[in-house]
Amino acid sequence: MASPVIPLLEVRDLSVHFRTEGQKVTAVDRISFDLAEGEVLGIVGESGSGKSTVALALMQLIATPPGSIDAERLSFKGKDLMSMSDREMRAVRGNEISMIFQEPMSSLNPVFTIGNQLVETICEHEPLTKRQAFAKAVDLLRLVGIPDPEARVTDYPHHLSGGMRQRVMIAMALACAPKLLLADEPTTALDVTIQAQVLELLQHLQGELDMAVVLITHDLGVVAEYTHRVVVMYAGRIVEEAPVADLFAAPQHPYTELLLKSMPPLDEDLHRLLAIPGSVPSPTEMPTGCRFAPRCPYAQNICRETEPAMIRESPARAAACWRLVDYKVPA
Amino acid sequence: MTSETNTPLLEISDLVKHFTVRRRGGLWTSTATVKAVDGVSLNIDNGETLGLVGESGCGKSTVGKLIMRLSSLTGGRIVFDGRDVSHLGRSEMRPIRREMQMIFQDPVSALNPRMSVEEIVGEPLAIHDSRNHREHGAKIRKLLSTVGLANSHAHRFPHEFSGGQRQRIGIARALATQPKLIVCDEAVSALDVSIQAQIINLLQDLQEEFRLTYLFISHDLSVVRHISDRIAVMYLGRIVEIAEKKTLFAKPLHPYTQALLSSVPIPRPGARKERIVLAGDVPSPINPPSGCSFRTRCVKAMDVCAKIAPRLQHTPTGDLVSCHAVELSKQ
Repeated sequence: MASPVIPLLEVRDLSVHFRTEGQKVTAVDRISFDLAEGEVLGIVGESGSGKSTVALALMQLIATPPGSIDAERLSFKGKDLMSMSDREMRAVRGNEISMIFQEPMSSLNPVFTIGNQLVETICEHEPLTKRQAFAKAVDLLRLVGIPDPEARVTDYPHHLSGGMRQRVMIAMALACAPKLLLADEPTTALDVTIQAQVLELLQHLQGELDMAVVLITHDLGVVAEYTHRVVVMYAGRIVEEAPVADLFAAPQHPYTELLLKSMPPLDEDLHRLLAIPGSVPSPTEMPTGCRFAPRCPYAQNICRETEPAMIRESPARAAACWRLVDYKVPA
Repeated sequence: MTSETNTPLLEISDLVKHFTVRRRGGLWTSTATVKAVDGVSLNIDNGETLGLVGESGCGKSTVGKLIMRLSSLTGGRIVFDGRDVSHLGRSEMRPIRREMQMIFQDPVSALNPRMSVEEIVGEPLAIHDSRNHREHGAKIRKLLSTVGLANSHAHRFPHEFSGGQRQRIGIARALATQPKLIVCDEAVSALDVSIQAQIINLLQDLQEEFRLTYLFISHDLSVVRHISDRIAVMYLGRIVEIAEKKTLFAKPLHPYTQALLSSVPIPRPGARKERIVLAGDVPSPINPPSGCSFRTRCVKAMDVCAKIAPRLQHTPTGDLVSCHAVELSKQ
């Protein structure tokens, strides 16, 4: 764990809106977090929580229109990403911040060999000859554990299995030794034994290259094993932020608590699972007050009327729940 | 098994399904055989839940389809409720089909978008119980309330529902003919954790109420552990181990089961166990390895594994495993 002096990434009040059919939909709503160098931050949430949109916004990959990004501050190594020109942003993207996606097949171009695609990425960012770039591509494939990289480099994506394709994506993302890797559900499409291979690889490379990683996932097991700190999102808002051990040992937000309890355990027999009633609100019909209140067993009148702010217990721990306010300010 | 007195509801033996695929290579097209299911035998007792786990391409879904006779057998025998159904024709199969139903992974593609909920749930009744059509309205309302949907939902269309509610519609349709066996093929895999728990609880309640027997096909080991009595593990078209769930999780015998279980990330920071990371990918079912199909990735592989395919053998606890290494250590 690195103790943050200047955070590598600073996000303050980031919102992402989309305008569709005359309606304005807020996918991400005023979220704030920091990321230190070499830190692995998990962003957890269910579908529709806005977690993937956060990554796209950080990369400035949201099409505007129909989207729009607002932020009080969105800075990387002290530089403001919001005020960068397309050209400046292109230098950051891939060079300093890279991203890997859930489905490697749709992220790779099917008509070029993986070697060609790696060379293209390398040459975009580094002044190398084709031959040097090709040698570097082979090295990268070796780095991500692809057997026989000299032969594989001339393969097309469809020649490779899902796990191998994800390794190629990782190789491409690491081509310029980025300081920050955004990994959006990198193993969700993979089988569990292959997921283990890919996550072990990512963890190994993260340590080796001292790179910060934002790991976006819905899988709490992956979060527990591979992250240092966690941000929990619900319906476009951050509801809790905590070091990973604290989050699992003593969740402060009812959503986190219930989410952890609704998973079937691997080493214990339960007669029934605890189910969270209802479903995630639609972004066009967000409830007033706390967005989790309609599904929350602890909800009071105040929860349905006024949205709670993030209550910060310590620099690393915060949650947005009225119950925490009661503890702090006894009535 | 524990008691030989009550005959199993479903007995399948040496089930084989081969698909012929065209391979393009050079000037000529050749054909090859994919051994999707290659000699699968298992029993399911009345009221029992058998979990069938394995990674993509292992043939678990094909087993489900073969049992439902949605796909023709290449070889083997299926005995359902004491009757050999392996070679029944369409019309002979029809009365038996009402006793076995299926729930699919993706409720969006499994439900006709142009039919209302009432029509979807009523369709099996119209086919299998057309004489009593006057009672259908009442039956449909009863079914909807059984799965937790309101009467007012009857006239709505699938797109108006959330993923969890759509899965409830699929379950109501499966229940309409009062089946004995329900094949659940990744029935909760597309759902978020909080919704998944609702549907798992519903399936368990229904099992108790109607004394249903489930074949629960899934890749999610924690879900399978929670819902099943016994679990069968498949690899490359064959069953490698069948055991009571507690035995399987506490003391997996087959090296593949051991690797599979150790790959699942545990949602408890610091609880990380010794991980067996399998090398490489699953071999192609077109050209599986000789002998034991797992031997190419197995840490315990011996000379004999390449020569002779191990057969499922009883363990001292009455479970089944197919591995030469396990057999040797027992003697």
